[in-house]
Amino acid sequence: MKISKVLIVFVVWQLMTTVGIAATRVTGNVIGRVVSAAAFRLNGDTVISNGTLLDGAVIETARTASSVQLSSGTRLSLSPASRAKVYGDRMILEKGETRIEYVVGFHLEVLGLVIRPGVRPGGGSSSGRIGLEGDTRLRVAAVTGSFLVWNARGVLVANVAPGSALAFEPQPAAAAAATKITGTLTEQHGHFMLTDRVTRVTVEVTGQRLGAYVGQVVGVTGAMNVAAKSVANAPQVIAASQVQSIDNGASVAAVVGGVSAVESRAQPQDVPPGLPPDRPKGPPPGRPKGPPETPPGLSR
Amino acid sequence: MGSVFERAVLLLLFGFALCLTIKLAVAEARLRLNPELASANQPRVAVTLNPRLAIAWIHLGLDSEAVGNLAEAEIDLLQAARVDRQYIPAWTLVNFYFRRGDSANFWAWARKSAARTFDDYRPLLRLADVLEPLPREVATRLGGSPPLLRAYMDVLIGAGRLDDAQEIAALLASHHDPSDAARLVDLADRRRLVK
Repeated sequence: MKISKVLIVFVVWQLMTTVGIAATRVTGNVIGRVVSAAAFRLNGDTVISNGTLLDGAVIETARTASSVQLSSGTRLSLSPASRAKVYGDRMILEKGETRIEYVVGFHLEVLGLVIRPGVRPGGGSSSGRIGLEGDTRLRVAAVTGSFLVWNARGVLVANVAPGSALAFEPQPAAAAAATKITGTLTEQHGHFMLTDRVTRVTVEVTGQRLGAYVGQVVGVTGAMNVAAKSVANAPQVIAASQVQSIDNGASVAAVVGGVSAVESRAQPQDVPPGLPPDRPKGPPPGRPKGPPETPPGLSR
Repeated sequence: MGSVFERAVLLLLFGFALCLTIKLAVAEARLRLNPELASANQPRVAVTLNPRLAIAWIHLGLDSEAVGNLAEAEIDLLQAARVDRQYIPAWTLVNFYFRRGDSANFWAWARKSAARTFDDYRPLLRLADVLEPLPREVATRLGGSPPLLRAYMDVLIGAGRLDDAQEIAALLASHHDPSDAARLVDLADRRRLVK
C-alpha cells in the first residue's frame, strides 16, 4: 500500500517536472508581446488586439500602429503600414517606420545599417523615430538622447544629436571607403582632427599641407584607411585626396563609411505632444566651434 | 389591474434609472476625490465608469503584466473574460498563460478561444503547436471542429509537415464533408510528389 502511494507521488512529480520543463522551453522562446487597437498581421496571420512574440516574429501593421513590448523592457511602436522582424535583441525594419520609446540592449537594422541608442549623460534611454523613405533612404530622428548609426562593417557613420534628424543612403559597395566630410580642422599634438558638421563623427585626417587649414572650415574628400589606427583616439583615419576651404554657412552633405548623410527637416511627428526634445550639449550640429568633441558611446 | 402593472413597470424603470444615476455619480465622485487616478490611468477610469468594458480590463491586465504584477494581471484579464464572453478576452488569456508557461490554463482558454474564433484560427494553432508536439492531440484539445482542422492542415502543409497534416486530414475525413474532398486529394498529391 505504501509502495503504491510512493509510486503515485513519484509519477505525479515526474509529470510536474515534465510540464515545468515544457514551460521553461516555451517561455524561453517568448520575447514579448504586441498590442494594437485594431487587427494586424503576425507571422502572416491576422491577429486582433494582442499577440505573443516569439524570436524572429514578423509584425505587419495596416492602418493602426502596434505597440511592441519586449521582456527586456524595450518598448517601441510600429507605425501604420509598416513591417518588421523582431528578435530579443534587435529589430529589422523592412517597411515603414518605428518609434523608439525605451530601449535596453536593443538595436535596429535598416538597409544594412545598424542603429543603436547613444549613452545619455543622465542615464535613461534614447527615443526617436526611425523610418524608411522609399526603398533606399533611411531617416533617423532623435527626440531624447542620441542615436549612433553604423554601417555593415562596423564603421561609425553618424551620431544623430537629440532634437535633430538625418537621412541616410548607403552607397554602392564599390564606394564603401569613400568619405566626404566638412568641419573645422584642428590640430592635436601634431595630428589633424575634424568633426563632421552633419554626422558629428570625429576623424583623424592625414595628408599633405593640412597645417595651412587649421582653424578653418574645410571640406575633405578622401578614403577611409581601414588598416590605420588613429593615434589621437579617433574612430577613423581618413587619407585626404582633396582639402578645400568652404563657406562657413554653406549647406553640405556628408559621406562616411560609404553612406551618404544629409540633415533632414524636422517634422511635427518627431516630437510627441508634451515631450520636449533634449538640447544637445556643446555646439549645435552644423556649426562646430572649438576643438572637436568626441561623440559619446564610440567604444562598442 | 392593468394600471397596477403599468405602475410597477414605471416604478421599476424609475428605480433602474435612479440606480444608474447614483452609480455614475459615485464613480464621478471617486474620480474627483482622486485626480491622480483620472490623469494617470485611463483604463482604470474607464472600468470605474463602466465595469463591463472588457477592452479596458484587458488594457489593465496587460499593463499589470508589463510591470510584473502577474496576479493582478490575471485577475483583470479574467474579469474581462467574465464581462465579455467573446473571442478577444479569451484570446488574450490564451496568450497570457502561454507567456507564463501555464499549460493547464492555456489549454482551457485555448479551447474556449477556438470555439469563439470567427476569423483566423492560425495564430491560436501556432501557439498550441509550440506547446504540444502531437498534432492529433492539439486538434482534440481545441475541440476538433472542421474549420479548425482545415486551418490546421493549412498551417502544417505551409510548414512542410506533410505527415502531420495527414493525421489531421484523417480527422477531417471522419466528418464526411464532400467539400473537403479536393483538400484531401491535394494533400495526397503533395505527399506522393515528396515521396
